[in-house]
Amino acid sequence: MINQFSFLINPLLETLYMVFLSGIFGLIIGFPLGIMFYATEKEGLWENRFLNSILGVLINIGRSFPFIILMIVLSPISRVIIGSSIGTTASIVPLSIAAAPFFARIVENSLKEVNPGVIEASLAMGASNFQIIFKVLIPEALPSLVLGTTLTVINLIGYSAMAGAIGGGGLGDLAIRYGFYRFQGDIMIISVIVIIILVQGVQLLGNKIAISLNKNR
Amino acid sequence: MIELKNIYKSYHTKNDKITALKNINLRINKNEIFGIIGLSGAGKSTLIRTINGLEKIDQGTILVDKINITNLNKKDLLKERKNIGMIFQHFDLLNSRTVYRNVAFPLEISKVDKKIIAERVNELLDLVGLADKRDTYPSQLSGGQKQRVAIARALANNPKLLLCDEATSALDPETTKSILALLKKLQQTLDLTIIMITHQMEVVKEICDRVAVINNGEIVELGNIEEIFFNPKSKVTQGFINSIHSNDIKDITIPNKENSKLIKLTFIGESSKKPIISSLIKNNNVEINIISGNIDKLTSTNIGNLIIQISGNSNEIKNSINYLNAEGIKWEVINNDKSI
Repeated sequence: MINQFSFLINPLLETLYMVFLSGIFGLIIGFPLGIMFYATEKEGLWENRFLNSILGVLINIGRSFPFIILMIVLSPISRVIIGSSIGTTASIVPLSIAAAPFFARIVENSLKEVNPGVIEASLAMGASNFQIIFKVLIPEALPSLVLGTTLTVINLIGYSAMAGAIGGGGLGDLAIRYGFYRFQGDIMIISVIVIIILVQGVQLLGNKIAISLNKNR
Repeated sequence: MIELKNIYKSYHTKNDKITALKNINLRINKNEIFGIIGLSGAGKSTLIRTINGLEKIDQGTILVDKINITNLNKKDLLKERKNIGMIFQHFDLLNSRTVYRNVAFPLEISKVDKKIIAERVNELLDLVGLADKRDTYPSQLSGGQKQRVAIARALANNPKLLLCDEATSALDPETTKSILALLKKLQQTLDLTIIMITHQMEVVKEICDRVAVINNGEIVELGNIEEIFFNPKSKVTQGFINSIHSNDIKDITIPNKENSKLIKLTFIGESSKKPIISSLIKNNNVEINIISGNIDKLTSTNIGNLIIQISGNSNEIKNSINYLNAEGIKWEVINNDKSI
């Protein structure tokens, strides 16, 4: 049984590797971006129309790029950072860059949902802008931020399937190369099933965490 | 303690300028409960927010304990806000925090030591009667309980001034009473000055010492609560007072009688305890028909209103009115379309 499915192990690990690392980098870039975008909005904590429109354009450009093109466009950058423009590790660069603006938008949306009255009350108590962001906005938006992170990770699982195009490997690559090009339908089906299980698992986990964090029931 | 001088504030929309506050001048004394009443859109929310600098003003000076709020830089303003508590219509508690941590929040912001926070929070929760709810989340509390948490939170930094922004408007009448009673108690025990804005005359009459009536961004009437109730001058004020008396004379059909007059009597304090009506009947040859009546229990005194129909010959009616004058009772002849 284990031998039979051993062909899955390496692609699965590659997918997890790509998704995990690009997820972390995407979050690291996207989170502050989203907070800045939120805070510079009209009547925001640091209202700044100029910075806000620049961030808005940047985020929208990042989100409208088809991922397959993004991979090609970013290959010189991958070469500089990773030392190679092809391979599993190299694909983390375009994956992170794709996840960041998506996540930034999600952060902005989540923070916008926080009751403005709570922000006003905090201001009335003499809270500084930083205190409001870290002690009020983020904790209040946490369930929604977790769900947004889940969404980002699932997106990354989808994108990572395309990483095969630059030799990134992973489950998507397995499905296309063995399943599709070599007419091994069973391999294709199995890899797709594993991807589905992965997505389901991430979603379930995300929902569970979000529910346990949500005190507003 | 608080002085507002010459306050002007307007909002700019795309192609319009809306004046929110116009020439506001107020002095609020230490240890008083000062009410600001107005209809929605009258500018009262804007007014109360200028006192802790949540709203910037275009012109004027605001002094809180001799500190000029309008001149403070950002850092000093944040510091000063810690000395001014505020509660809101929708409570605005942090849903992600327990009751305990909500009350602890302003202390955390002020970087108070954890041990002191614990002591202070427990003390505050005892004060508002919610010690047993300390580990509950706001979503599990009733409106009244939420407002109690908000009050405890507002008092955490030992402010001398508490701003109440429609603090009881989202509560039912019973809960409103209990919250007002709590505020009154706290005001007395903690030497607080309270400024409350509201559109409910019931709130004003229940606990306010003085009241300002605001309309279209201007203060149209200002005075002790008894004065305002006894002798309301502006239309808006009269409207507010009438709003708490469900028996509006206009809605009552009054029996047709010859040689009769409709008279509204207003009693204040001691005069409300005298047997005026029976004396009137005994001493003059008049008949009296009581149409409607009410009594308002104010913070310091009672004010009663009585609408009577008095009938008899003109001389007798005149004598009766002289008697009212002699007794110091305020009266006015009112017209009612349905009476004749």
